[in-house]
Amino acid sequence: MLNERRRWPFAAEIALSVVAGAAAFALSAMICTAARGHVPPVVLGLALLAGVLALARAAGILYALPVGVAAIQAYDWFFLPPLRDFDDSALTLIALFIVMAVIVGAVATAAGRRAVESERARGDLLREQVALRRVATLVAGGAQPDAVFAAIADELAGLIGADASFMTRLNDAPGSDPPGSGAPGSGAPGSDAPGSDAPSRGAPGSASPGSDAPSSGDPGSASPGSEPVGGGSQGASVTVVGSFGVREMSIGTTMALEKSMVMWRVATTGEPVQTRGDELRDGPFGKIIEELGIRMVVAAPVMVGARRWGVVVAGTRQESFPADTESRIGDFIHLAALAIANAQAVEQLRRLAEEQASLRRLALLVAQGVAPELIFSAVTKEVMRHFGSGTARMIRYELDGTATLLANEGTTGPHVRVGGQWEAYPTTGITATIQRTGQPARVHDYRELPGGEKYAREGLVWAVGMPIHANGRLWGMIAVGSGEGRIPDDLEARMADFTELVAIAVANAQSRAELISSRARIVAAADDARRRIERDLHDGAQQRLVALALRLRSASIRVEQGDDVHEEITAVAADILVVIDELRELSRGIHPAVLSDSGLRPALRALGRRSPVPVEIDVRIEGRLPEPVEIGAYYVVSEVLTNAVKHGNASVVEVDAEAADGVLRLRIRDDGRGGADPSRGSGLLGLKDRIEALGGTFELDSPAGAGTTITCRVPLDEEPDR
Amino acid sequence: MTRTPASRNADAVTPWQAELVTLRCLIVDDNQHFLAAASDLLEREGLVVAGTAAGGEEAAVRVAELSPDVALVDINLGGESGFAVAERLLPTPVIMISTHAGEDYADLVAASPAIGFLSKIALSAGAVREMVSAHTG
Repeated sequence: MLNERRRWPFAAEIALSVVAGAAAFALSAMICTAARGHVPPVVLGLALLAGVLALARAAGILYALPVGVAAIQAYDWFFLPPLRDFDDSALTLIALFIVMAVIVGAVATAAGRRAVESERARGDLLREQVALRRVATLVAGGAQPDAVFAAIADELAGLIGADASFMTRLNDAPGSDPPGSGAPGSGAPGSDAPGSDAPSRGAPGSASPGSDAPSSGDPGSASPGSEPVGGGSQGASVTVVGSFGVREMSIGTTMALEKSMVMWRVATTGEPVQTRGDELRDGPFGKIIEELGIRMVVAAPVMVGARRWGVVVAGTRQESFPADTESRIGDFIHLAALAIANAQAVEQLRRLAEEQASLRRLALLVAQGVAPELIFSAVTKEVMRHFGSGTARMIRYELDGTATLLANEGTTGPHVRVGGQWEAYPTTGITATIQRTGQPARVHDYRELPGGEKYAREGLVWAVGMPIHANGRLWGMIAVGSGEGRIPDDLEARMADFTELVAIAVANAQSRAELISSRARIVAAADDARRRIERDLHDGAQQRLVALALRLRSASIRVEQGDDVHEEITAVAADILVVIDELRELSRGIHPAVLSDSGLRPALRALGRRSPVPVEIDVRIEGRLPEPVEIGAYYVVSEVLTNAVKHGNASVVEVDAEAADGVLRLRIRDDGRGGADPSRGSGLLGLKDRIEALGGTFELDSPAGAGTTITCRVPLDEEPDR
Repeated sequence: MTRTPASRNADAVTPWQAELVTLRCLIVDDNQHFLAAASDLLEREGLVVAGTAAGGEEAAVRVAELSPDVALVDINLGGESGFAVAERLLPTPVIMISTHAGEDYADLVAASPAIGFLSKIALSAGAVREMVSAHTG
């Protein structure tokens, strides 16, 4: 029924049947006249009837009735006696007969055709409904969008009697599509082994762009002078999501849209388009079309909501599709679009739920303080599960500029050594780009990347890397890669949550390590201080006192011997005073009495008075502060003053302390050499530990040649954590 | 245990002779105040302080030069261990001295070649003589 010959307009057919009647009369009259006397009447009568019967079958009642009536009349008048002269009244009579026959035939034909058409329309509707029901059942059953698209391509082909059809998704829709209207599609097609449901389709799932598919690089498909679609919107492309009867359009195939393509016109105008003949043969897919023997192609837009979602293309080997094919495709696709929207929503929800579940599991690990190495491998596994159809990797950037492969899932190769150095990576690849920029990076095709051969040998085509920043530093990155499809548009955004978790885990681990080492440093510093005091006591006061004791015993012997020891006793007394001074200094070093007696202000003033460098002190503190805060602040000033004298060549030091709003702000600034570095062990690290142990912050600003400024903020109202 | 004479130059002394012999000693300490005060006191109490040294190296030289009967060595010679110095001075008898209390070092002294320990506060010619005679006796 799809190959019905084209009909003429009905009025023309009626005119034609009149002519046929007249011609039949004339022809029969000649035959009867010639056959008179040679052929038995029965034979000629039967021959006439046979001719009419044949005509009725071939051309229908519209022609058979006038031809039959005219032929029988001619037989009566010119063969069977009494013969009749052909005069005006005979002409009128035969004309009336023919017109009557044509009228009866036309009415009968029209009624018959209406019956056939209504029958056919009922059948079409039924098939359409059945097809839609099958698609809807798939969607309701929670089928993957891939399966739904494949079914739509299949059903559409069956419905309109196409020999080949495929459905594509617009990746970068030109025209009315507003930017940010959501990335089309839902994950890379091909990631879930499409095609398991539709064995009839050609090479499903084996999409490897560039191998046999007509990608834009295929010389057979690129037409000269073609350019990318959409003027400004560069790189607009379509991805095949459903395919029937055309092997070259396997699912996952992505091709750039070109102006010469029917799909481009549909995507740009939003209107259905049909092509045939030369236009089809000379088009970009001429070769495929010729191989398949396709003679006509119809393409129609797929609208999901108000958005041009994709294009569906159907071809037939017949001369043409029936006239109403375009509108029937439109009707079916309109309904199927609802299924697409639904399938996408369902799929997006499912994916989101799975990603959230993964993130919850990982967050639990992070919260439990599990060893970072376990978190790295768990995150890489989950990232692989959700985003990588080929490979997922975690790489750490070391301080010396090298990189270490921490975890690997999926494809591998001789260059992949977990725990080992990640080396010889291409300078424009993901690892190097992120290392350089700290931003996400993409590689679209490793086969075209200099130095990317080893990744291509692993089977990777594209890859995306996300940086991991911890404590303000680029710590590492997570990359996913695949040999299938193209990079999903929203991949970076979806991976961000995972990299965030890694960053938190890393920052936690670093803080914990930092806490442990600062605790150790605080303990070591206290031990050190005690050892120093012991040595000072032993080497100083104690030795002097022992010597003085021995001298007094000598003096006592000399007194027994009658010597004058007056001078010696005076010398011993003077030495004892020196020892007393020494002990006082020592005890002030252990803990300044003025600090515990009178508070920070007099203690700092006393420090300033004793300093060999002039010190300008401005203390705005009412009353007393918590004792640990006073002691901490005192030692910061004391140590900084010592440093300023010892290393800094300072000519003046400003000390500024203020307690307000529950915070002690302490700023010490000198005009010395600067360039102080806590990591070089100038005692600054100990001060930082001390202030941080009080829950405060310690900032050092010491540019070389521009003095040193230390700023501390210590909370006053809460007990520091111990 | 074989006993070595206090001085290889002297004739073997009998116990009753020890009181009569003038003991020659070397003091090894890194504190000049102590060296001065201790030398003065021991001399006044009847010992001969043959010499003083501030460290192990110097002490070894002095022992070779002076062949003292006994060396008084501070346990804590700055960075140097007095026990190591005592080893170097063998076979000269060594008495360890310190400002610290004797019980802190009792085990170490017993394990060392030193013949005894004297607190610096308790330093006296009598204590030194007694320890040497107990050793040679």
